[in-house]
This record gives sequence, C-alpha cells and structure tokens, in this order.
Amino acid sequence: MMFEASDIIGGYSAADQILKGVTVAADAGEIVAILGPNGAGKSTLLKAVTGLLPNLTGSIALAGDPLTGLRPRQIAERGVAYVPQESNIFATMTVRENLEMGGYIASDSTSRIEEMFGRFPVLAEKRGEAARTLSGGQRQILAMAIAMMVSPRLLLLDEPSAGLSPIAAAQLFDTIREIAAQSVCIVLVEQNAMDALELCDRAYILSAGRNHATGAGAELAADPDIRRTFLGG
Amino acid sequence: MELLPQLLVNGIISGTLLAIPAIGFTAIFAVLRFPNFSVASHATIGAFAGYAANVWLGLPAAPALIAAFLVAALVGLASDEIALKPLRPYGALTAAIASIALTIVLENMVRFGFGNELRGYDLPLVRDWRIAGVRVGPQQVQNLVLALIIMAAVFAALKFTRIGKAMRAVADNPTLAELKGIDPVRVGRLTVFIAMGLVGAGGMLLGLGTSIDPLTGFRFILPIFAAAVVGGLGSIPGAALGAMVVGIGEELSVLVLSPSYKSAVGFVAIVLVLAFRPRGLLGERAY
Repeated sequence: MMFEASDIIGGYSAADQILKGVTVAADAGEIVAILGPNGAGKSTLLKAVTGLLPNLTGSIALAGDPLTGLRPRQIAERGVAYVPQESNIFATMTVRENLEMGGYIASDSTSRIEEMFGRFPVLAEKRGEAARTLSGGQRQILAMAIAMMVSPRLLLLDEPSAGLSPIAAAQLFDTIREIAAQSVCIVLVEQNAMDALELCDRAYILSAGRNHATGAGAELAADPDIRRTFLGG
Repeated sequence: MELLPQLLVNGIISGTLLAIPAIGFTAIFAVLRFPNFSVASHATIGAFAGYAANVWLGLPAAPALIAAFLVAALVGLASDEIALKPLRPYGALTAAIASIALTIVLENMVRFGFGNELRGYDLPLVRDWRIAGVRVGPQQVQNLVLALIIMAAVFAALKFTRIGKAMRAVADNPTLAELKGIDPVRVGRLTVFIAMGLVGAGGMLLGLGTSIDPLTGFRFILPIFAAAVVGGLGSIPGAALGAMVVGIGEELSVLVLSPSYKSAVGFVAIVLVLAFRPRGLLGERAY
C-alpha cells in the first residue's frame, strides 16, 4: 500500500486519547473514505498524519517512508497535502497569492499556478481577487488547488463538501475523482456518509477511536447493520 | 480659521511619521498575536542610535536613519529572543505584560548610557518655507519624504517578495501557513527585526522635529497604540490610516483644547473605535 497508518493512538493531550488504535491504508489512485459518528476520531486521524497532533504512538508511512514524529513542514515536503475543514485558505490574500503559498516549498510554482488556472477556470477568473470574496464551493476548490500545488502523493480532505449546495458538492466530487485518476492517494473524512460511499473505492468506519468495519464503498452501503448503526438509515 | 490649513499640514506630517512605528507595532501583532509595548523603548533606542550616528559620526539625517533602523532591529530581535519568546506560549497577556517590563529595562539602559538631559540632532539651520500662508520647514518635508519612502518599501516588500507574502500568510492563517511549509519561527524573527527597525526609524523621525531623551518613545506609545487600534490591530494599511487619523486629530484638537490635552486624542480615538467599530477601520486585513 502507498499509505499506511498502523495502530495510531493519540489525541490533543496525553490525558485525552481520541484515537485508541486505528489502522488505515490506501493505495495510489484510490479514494478511501473515513466514516463514523461524531467523536469517532475521523478528523483527529487526519491531523495525526499531517503532524499536527503532539502526542502520538503507532507508525505512519508513505511509500515506505516513515512520517511519524516529523514536523508538518517535513511531512508536506514528503508529498502529503492536507485540506482542513475550516480556515483552509488565506482569506485576506488574492487567489493567485493563495496558490503561491500552496507552492511555497515547490521548486517551480509559477508554471504550476498556470496549470491550476487551466484546471480550475473559476480560479483563473478570480485570480486577482481576495479569497474571502469567493463562494463556499469556490473556496473548497481553491483549498484543493492550494493542496495540489506541491503535486502531493497523498491528499487528505477533511469534510470537503461541508456547507456546499448539492450541485457544488457534486462538482467537488468530480474534481476529487479527477485528482485520484492521476495516481494520487486520497483519504477523506465525510459527514455525508452515503455520498462518500458512492465516491470512494473503500471506506473505514471508525467508532470511539477504533476501527469498526472496512470494505468496498458499495459493500458497506448495502450492509443493513452498518446502515442502521452508522449511516443513519 | 486661518489656523486650519497650518494644523492640517502639521497633522498630515506628524501622522505620516507616526505611521512608521505604528506599522511596526501592528505587524508584530499580526504575526505573533500580542501587543508588544516594548516599541516604546525601541523607538527611544532608534532615536539615540540615530543621534549617535548624526552627532558623533557626523552623518546626515538620512544615513543616520539607517543606523536607527538597524540598531533598533537588532536590539528588538535579541530582546525578543531572550525575554519575550519564551513567554509567548503562556498567552498574549503574559507576553504583553513582559513587554512592558522589557521596555522599562531598555529605557533605563538608555538612561544609564546617555543620561536624562534633552539632546538635539545636528541639523543644518534653514529658513521655513511659506506656501499660501502655511509654514513648513525643509527638514519636516525631508522627514515626510523619508517616511513615505519607508512606507512604500514596506508595502512593496509585503506585496511582491516571497518572504513578505509568507509574513502575510502567517498573519492570516498560521496553521495553514505551517502546513504549507512556511517556518513560523523564521517568519516571526524576521517580523520582529523589520518591525522593531521601523519603530526605531520612526522614533528618530519623530525626534528629529524636537529633541530626544530616554522618555521619547514612551511619549509616543499612546498615539502608536491608538493608530494601530483605530486602523484595526494587525492591519498594516489600517495602521497607516489610523496614524493619519490620530496625527490630524491631535493637531486639530488644538482648535478647541489646550495643547497640553493633545494626547487625549489617542484615548478618545480608541474609545470611539471600540464603541462603534471594534475591529478598527480596516478590520484585520494584514495587507
């Protein structure tokens, strides 16, 4: 597997272990969804991978390269990009400057920015405008484009469709599929479980900081027990 | 009413000079998220470094201003690393209180070295110009031009350089900036260096018009703070605008108040802004 996180135990302090031994893995080009009730540790798991969690045990590796214990910058340099659920853009800076900051550690960000404008015409139209003037859907596209500036091998998305209209969410999911098609490994946390199961290749269901179930998206969506307990129907 | 144009010109000049240290103060707030009141002593240090370069070394005002910038920047960086940085994890209030203590220490070091007496810069004596009934000194105009050049350089650096943009990114969203590989410690250091340099240069510019003593910076702390709050703490264009409001307000207050109440304008401006527009005139826009 391209990305592997095994037996992750950790939280925001030593006394507050939200993750109690979670294991997830994903392959290149695969979309993996992390689902589960509130407080299951889904977003915390993404933060653990990006180096934002101070207390952590277990092992995290990308293409065999260990990430455990590295600073967020070092993890970013190894090809991990993370799109937080909120505050995922530089609101006071222009769209173009946002992309420049996304490619801060990249060697050739200028051509990459043009590539992003080609891929996301809505951003090209607004390149000189402050990011805070964008709509919710446009902000999520920008957040994704910021992450893509470093050509990541692993893209972590925390509730990318939160607060979006159904149309904007559908467009965003199309974008996620396009990114995965370029052999990028995508791990996403979603509140809207049925949509996420439709989008993903595989899903992990977490409960109270532990793995509860795993399987192909369609398989989990069809399982009546899983539907009743975790997917609200 | 014939006083009005004169007061307006004076206000524009003093507001522009005040903008330089106010930009330094607000830049530190934007990036490090605490009000660093040691700008008072750093303005004094800049004024004295400029004095030493001007009077002892015989340099004209403009090159002496570079000395004021560099000395205040270096002292600012060192004092931040030693005294304030270790306390920042304990919160903005702790760091702010520590900065007041730091300013007392630094101010007294200046007093120990230079004494308490008033000192004046060695500037050529030139006749004031009279334009349409408004009197303005060539030195004032030179100070104004220097302040505008410094401001233009700061804005250009923030807008066009990679590190300037990184500073704005950290001010805007520190967590995302770190995720994108921007080193917050390095950006913090650079911000303190530039900001305290600006404060030092501002201290000298403000001192050029009068005389200096170890309390020079302390006397300007209220207008500096008021300018930053009025413009919106953390907003650099806001600090420039706020400085103009405070500078012009202080001068115009002379029309209705005794000049000794000038400094009350800063207080009134803070109270009005907190009451009607708590985020300041330009909000928290870093640039």
